[in-house]
Amino acid sequence: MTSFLQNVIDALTAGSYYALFALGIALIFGIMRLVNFAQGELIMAGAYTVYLTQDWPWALIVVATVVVVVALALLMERVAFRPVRGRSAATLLITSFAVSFFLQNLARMVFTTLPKSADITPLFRRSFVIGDLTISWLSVIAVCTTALLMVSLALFLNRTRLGVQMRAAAEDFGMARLCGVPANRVIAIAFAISGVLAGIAGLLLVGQTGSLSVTMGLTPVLFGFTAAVIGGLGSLTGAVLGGYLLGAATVFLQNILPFELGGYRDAFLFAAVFAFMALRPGGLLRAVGLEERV
Amino acid sequence: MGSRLRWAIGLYTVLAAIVVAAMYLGSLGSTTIDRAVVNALIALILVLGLSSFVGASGVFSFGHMAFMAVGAYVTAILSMSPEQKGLQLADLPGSLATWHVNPLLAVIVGALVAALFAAVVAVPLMRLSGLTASLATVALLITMRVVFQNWETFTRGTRGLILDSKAPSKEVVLVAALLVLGVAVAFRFSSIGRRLAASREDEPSARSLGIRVWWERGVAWVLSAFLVGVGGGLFALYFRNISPDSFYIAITFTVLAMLVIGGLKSVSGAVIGTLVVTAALELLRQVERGWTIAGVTIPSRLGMSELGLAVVLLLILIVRPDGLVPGELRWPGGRADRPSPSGPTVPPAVDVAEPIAVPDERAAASEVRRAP
Repeated sequence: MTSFLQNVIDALTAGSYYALFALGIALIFGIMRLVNFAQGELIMAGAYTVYLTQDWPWALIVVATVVVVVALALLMERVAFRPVRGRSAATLLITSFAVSFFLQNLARMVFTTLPKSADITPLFRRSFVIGDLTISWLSVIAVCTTALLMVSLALFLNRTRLGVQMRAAAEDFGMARLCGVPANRVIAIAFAISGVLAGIAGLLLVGQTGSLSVTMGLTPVLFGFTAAVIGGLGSLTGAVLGGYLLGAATVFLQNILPFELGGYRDAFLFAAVFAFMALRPGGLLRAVGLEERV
Repeated sequence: MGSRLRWAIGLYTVLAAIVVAAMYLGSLGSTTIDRAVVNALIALILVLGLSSFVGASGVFSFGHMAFMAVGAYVTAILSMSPEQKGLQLADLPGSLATWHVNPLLAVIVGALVAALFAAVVAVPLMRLSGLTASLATVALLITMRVVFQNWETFTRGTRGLILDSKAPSKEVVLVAALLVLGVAVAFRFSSIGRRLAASREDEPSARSLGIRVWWERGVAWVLSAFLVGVGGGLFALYFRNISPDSFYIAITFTVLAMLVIGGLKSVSGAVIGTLVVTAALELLRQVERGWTIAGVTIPSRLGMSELGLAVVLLLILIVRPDGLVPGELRWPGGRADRPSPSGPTVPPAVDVAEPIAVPDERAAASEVRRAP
């Protein structure tokens, strides 16, 4: 029972991270049909901002990280993605791949490839015990922050004018524009939100591992977009669902795989994802208006 | 001889001449340049292989370097001497431990294994639509990397393998590249290649004409895996040192960038893209090592060549989305744009040199579609 509860907590923590990664990707995809590989580099940029500001008070670190990453996300949209808007999904995919590679190598030139370490607050390293369960403060923070961000996002999308416009744009971009939804503003807001999500994710990742490298964005973006695909690309609820499902699958595989196969965990995971995509290409929740029309 | 065949042969001659000339020019330098020349030839094989699927079908694949890895590892295992296998791969099962195959034969076997693997993967993959298929190939790339990192018996994990077989000469690699070029051109001009091009330009119309898109894509997928596998085998033989990271994101990006910069839709684009990008990268690598102008020393910065490549790729995507060479090269005044003799099953517009802006316009038009 104890180990079961411990596993649930682990799955919930991992799932929160994956949901956070996936939300940013699903949000952009819903509106622009763009699978943004560069989301990972936004997370990396967030982590490096934390590294550069680690001596500041923690509230300022959070603000600085979010501001830097949002600015970077907006810049990325303006310089690279706006010129290719409306092109084929394949072109957008390659563009984001190029942006991601660009940012990664820019970071490599500035910060070199040597891994760095950052220690924000000792709280991130502490944990507490309830009965036989060991829970780290960081997982509490991660789960709560993700939940908070999801609730705020849901409120924003359902209760504000801009949010409704964004949902309309995600459902049918052309139609929304005809009804007077300002395309540039809606897309910029979507990128800004994905920047907030990426900044927080970067902060949490630094807190979790204490180390950073220029390639650290790759794994999050791969898990994030896998989660988004499982959930049904473009559906935000699907992305969250996919994130927690992937978290549960990770912990499950960790437990059932014999020790000598432990290294293969991600191979099993992604092979399962591959199989899932082949069997159910639309994901768990099919986003409205995503089917190609002829 | 039909005009299509004549055009294909003419095109092959021109492209082969360009490749040979570029290699000759490249070899004028010292032996360090020799390495760069072979590097470029192997890149050419990889790009041509990838282009046989991605260029022909319009579906991006991020997973092809997994086939390169399969080709490379099989070649390495088959061609290493038994003594080296004893040192590096002590647990190889059965006769694999004692076999010592001719390196070039090993490359072909490696490519066949890669193609076989691709055929297995193709069964589920080709069910998917374009974008989902691209995303699934990412899952393929990651899965295979983890497998190579952990399958100690065959790959020695993250430490990689060091080959002791004789490296092929530059000329052998050149001949291989020219053969691959021939296959790539022949495939694009074959009926399957042309049906694929039709589906790339307009999938619903192609399907309505009775083209089994999944089948044509599957054939292209397996063929391109074979060609990329050849590239992987030669890579292993020539550079002698392979590890799971040799076949991951960096090379995937470089090869895709070469393909997109040159022009996705044509074999000419693949060739020109490879040559231009290779030359630019070599130049940037010189800069990267650090240099001095007028007393000011610019320090060595790693990552600059990749940065430059990413910028060029972005510029091309924004300014010239069809790449440097949008259609196949042709003789001035050639008449190859006559309707093809194979009749109405293939829209003749596909091979016309002028870029056809169909996908973009269609995307724009579908934005103004009615609400359901």
